[in-house]
Amino acid sequence: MNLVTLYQEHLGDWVVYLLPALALSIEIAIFSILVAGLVGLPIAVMKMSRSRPLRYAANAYIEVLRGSPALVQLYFIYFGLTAFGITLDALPAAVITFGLNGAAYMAEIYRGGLRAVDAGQSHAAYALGMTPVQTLRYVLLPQSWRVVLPPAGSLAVAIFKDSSLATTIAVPELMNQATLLVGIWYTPFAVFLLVAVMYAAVALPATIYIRRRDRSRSWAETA
Amino acid sequence: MGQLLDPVPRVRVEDLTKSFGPHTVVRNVNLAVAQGERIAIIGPSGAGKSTLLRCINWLERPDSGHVYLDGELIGESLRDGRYVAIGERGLAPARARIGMVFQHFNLFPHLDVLGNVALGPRLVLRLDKQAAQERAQAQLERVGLTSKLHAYPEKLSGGQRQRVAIARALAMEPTVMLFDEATSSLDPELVGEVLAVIRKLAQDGMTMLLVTHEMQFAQDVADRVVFMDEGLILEEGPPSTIFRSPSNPRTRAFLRAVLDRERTSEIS
Amino acid sequence: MDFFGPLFANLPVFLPVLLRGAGATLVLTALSGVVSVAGGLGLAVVRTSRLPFVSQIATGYIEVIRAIPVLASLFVIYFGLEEFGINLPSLVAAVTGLGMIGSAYMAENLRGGFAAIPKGQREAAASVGLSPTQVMSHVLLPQAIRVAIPPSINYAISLLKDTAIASTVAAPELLFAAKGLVSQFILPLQVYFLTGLIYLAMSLPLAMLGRYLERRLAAGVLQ
Repeated sequence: MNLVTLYQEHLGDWVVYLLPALALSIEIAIFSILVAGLVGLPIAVMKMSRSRPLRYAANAYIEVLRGSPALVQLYFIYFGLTAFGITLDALPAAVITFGLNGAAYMAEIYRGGLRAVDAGQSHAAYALGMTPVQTLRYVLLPQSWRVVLPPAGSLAVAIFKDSSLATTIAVPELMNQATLLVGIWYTPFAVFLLVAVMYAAVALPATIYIRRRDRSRSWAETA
Repeated sequence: MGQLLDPVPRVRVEDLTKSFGPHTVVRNVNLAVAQGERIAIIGPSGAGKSTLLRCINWLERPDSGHVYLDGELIGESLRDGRYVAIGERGLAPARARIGMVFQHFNLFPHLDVLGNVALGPRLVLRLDKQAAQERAQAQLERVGLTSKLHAYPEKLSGGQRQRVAIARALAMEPTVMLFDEATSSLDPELVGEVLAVIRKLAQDGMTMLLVTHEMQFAQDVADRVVFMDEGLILEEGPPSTIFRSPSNPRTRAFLRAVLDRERTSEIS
Repeated sequence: MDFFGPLFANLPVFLPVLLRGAGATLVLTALSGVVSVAGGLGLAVVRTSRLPFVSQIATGYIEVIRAIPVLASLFVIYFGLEEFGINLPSLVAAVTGLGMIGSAYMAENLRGGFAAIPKGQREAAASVGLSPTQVMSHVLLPQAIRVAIPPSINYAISLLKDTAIASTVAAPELLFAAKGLVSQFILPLQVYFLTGLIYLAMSLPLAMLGRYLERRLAAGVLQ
């Protein structure tokens, strides 16, 4: 079996199947990180709240979602929730799972970002009569982006790789299409190797880009 | 101008106590500030002066005691004869009437100068963008920074930043201004421009409390000087009395040490 | 909602199966962990080599392997090698795959550990007369390992969760056992709920150990 000749023969056909699937994998990552960003913020706020029940609830959410495998959470949401009459399509189930899972990580990322903002900022905002919500929205969050974006970017890349798990519930993403191709051509090594390279071809440059941009200029120290 | 009744003081602090862990930083302090009165609070570091100021607008929550603004209880509500502390959201309206200037300026670095000053009027006073900006511009004129409207804080000198901070507080049209060591972080040559702005505010009749180490300024501007040490008000009175013939030995010791320092820094 | 009913009714049947699976998971994690540590040490040492290209190849391997999803690597090893007539049993494939990936992460942790060592250490050791190997094994490595422990505990938790992915190649572990139960009893909600709980029970002690060690080791940081 000559790998080179295999690719020469089939790469064209395979790529036609695989590129749209890769696009779907990227889409899953994008939607999931958006969900994670949205859900993670209230959880982070709850975790920093003065009310103990709110703090415990936030911590419980974070511990449970970070302490169990994403694949189990995926099965729970896709298969398990049918017992409550909630039948989701595979793609939404995947986005919801990765989004909720990612939210647990985003909560910690937001917390780190908000803690990085100088304490005097919230004092000044409160002294002007701003409410905590206004302070968060107009003063603290805008200054925390610099610290939040790099780890959030890394999380997005991680979700992109985790999207491969969605093959187990028949989402037509990259891994799934690869298995279909193997079913047709019976060349598992060539196909799966190609797919591995495709994942790396997206994940690696993204990771390096995020690393470069992480030299953050912080103007937060000046005022 | 005779007055039949004592007018309600702008700010009244009653039996205020605040501790941080085992340290009691403010002990049963009582203070009343009349309208238009300028009070300078002096004393050694750690005397509780800043904490007292921060309790007035409830940036620090007092452990006991009460704060009244124009006769109204702030930070707490009276329910069935018991005092209950108000949450952060409830404190906002009262804080809008008190202006605070911080030692470290605390300008918002992600907004330009105009944005910094207009944010409070827009979000808290609910002015529309146009009105808020006009008000901001007016205050910035007052502190002499019209040329820097669109500059960002990182590009400004310390003195300029503090003046923006003052404009930011003034834009809320507060009834009283609190200055928490407003010039302590400034390089000496920049202190003057900020003091000039505060002096002008005083001349315009703004009620103010200043925690300061600038003794000369306190003498010139204050109607009343309060000396605090170890959480207590040990002495208070007109500047002429406090600075020239203080009765409390600790006041004397403090002033001697401070004036010695000023004299030696003048020589070198 | 008939959640608790079926749950408690079937507990005597589910638990033994799942706990056996959990035991297998721990074995899988431990084996993969050992391979990861050994491989990581090897890679880290290779990286310090001054020979041309050697260090770069090692770094390249580390970056690329980390950019590939676990599932993809497992499929290449388990299904792909069949093409060459290499039919690895699932456990071996899983340990190999997880071990290869883990080596890359451990090597990175050690790199961080080495970076934290003050520069003069190597020179001081060398000037005492220690050979390069002795310098590495008696001076540099011990210090690097100390710093590398907290991130390594974090990786151990990830490794534990990643073993669930090996269920897709029929490796003996918890999620695979759970899937068997679901196909038998059609109670995905209860089974996956229990499964998640058991994973939590395994990961939470590790998480607490990690936080404890982080605090202890942060106190005794090198001057």
